[in-house]
Amino acid sequence: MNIDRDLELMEHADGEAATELDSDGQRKVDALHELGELVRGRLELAADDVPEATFASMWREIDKQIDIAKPTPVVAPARAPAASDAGFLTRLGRFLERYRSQIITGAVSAGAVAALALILRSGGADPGTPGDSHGPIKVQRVSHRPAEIEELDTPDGTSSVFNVDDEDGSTTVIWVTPEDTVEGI
Amino acid sequence: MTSPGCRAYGGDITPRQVSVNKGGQPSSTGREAVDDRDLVLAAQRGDREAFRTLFERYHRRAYALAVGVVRNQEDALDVVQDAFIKAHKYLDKFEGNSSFYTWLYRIVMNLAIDHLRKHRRVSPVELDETHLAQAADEGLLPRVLGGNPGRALMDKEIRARIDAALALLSENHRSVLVMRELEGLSYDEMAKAMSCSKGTIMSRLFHARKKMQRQLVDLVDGVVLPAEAESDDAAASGSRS
Repeated sequence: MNIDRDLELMEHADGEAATELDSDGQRKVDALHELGELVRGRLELAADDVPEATFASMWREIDKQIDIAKPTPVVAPARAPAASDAGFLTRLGRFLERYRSQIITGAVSAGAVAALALILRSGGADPGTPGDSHGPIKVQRVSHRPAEIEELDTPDGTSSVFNVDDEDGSTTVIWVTPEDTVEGI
Repeated sequence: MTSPGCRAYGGDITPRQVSVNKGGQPSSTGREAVDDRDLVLAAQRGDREAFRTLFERYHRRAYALAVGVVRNQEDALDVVQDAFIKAHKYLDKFEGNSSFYTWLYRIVMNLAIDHLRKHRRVSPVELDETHLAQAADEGLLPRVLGGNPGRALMDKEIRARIDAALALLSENHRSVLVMRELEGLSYDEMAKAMSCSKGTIMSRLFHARKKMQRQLVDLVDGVVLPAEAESDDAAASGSRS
């Protein structure tokens, strides 16, 4: 018995390939067709044997299942922004995932630059200066008003106090004259 | 033990038109003349009656396929019901690149194979192409029932024998045989549908047919199988004497 020949006959019977048929080959091809008719006919009969009521009942069940599976329509308008947010977040997530390596590199670089700037800044500034870490520096106005001298005690002489005002502010002048000074000596 | 390992999905399949629709079975919706594509479009828009018409067109055909694979009426009905529910669920994803039945057919086959896996029973050992050489002495037979299958099918006993013979096949052998004989799929279509090589499909089909022949051949007037070494004619004539 030649198995290759039988496979050729099967291909011929199935219309997959054509081969020369002798009488034995023709009988085998006919037998294959007959077997096919038997199998197909048997299955068709089995399908025909099922009462129509069974399929009607099946349809009712399918109809019911479809209704159950049908998604509930969205009524609340508040759901729309949520869905939109979800969509945005999803897109954002996809973006971050796609450019993850670039984003990490950028973040590390930015951190390094910021750290360097802080180091340089802290080295040049007066550590006691207020506002280094507490917001903007408060500039206090300095009054150039001269000190008021209420009393000047000058032993062995006399003294005078003058206040001179000009465009640069006020200046206090104290003039002291000793008593034993001899003019002309 | 068999390892099915193949799923019924794949390319566009154009199944053979079979008569399990009961010909002019009246439809309650009166939509016989409407094309499948139009029905699908209507069903996709939510027309339940359109989907019902599709169901009425193909439920028996789908059942024939399912019962051929699972070999049990109740199981086959479950498979068909689940297949239509699934078809409706994913109908909006059906783009019409194949016929509706081709699409439905794949769903039925997938569910039938899944059903077999979930309810696995003892299954005959499968022979594949690696065993072809060992089986070389068991070729195809030149006869089965004597040339009138339609008449033979009128016989209850013969129908029962065919059922029993189908039940003896492994899942893969039976699936391939049913696809070929009921739907008329080509070897390539079956290979694509079951994610197997064409050679595997040929091997399964060959062995399935050979086993079926041997289960059924003795129904013909008590014909005894000829010895492999003898000529078939001589053996046949000898057995009839």
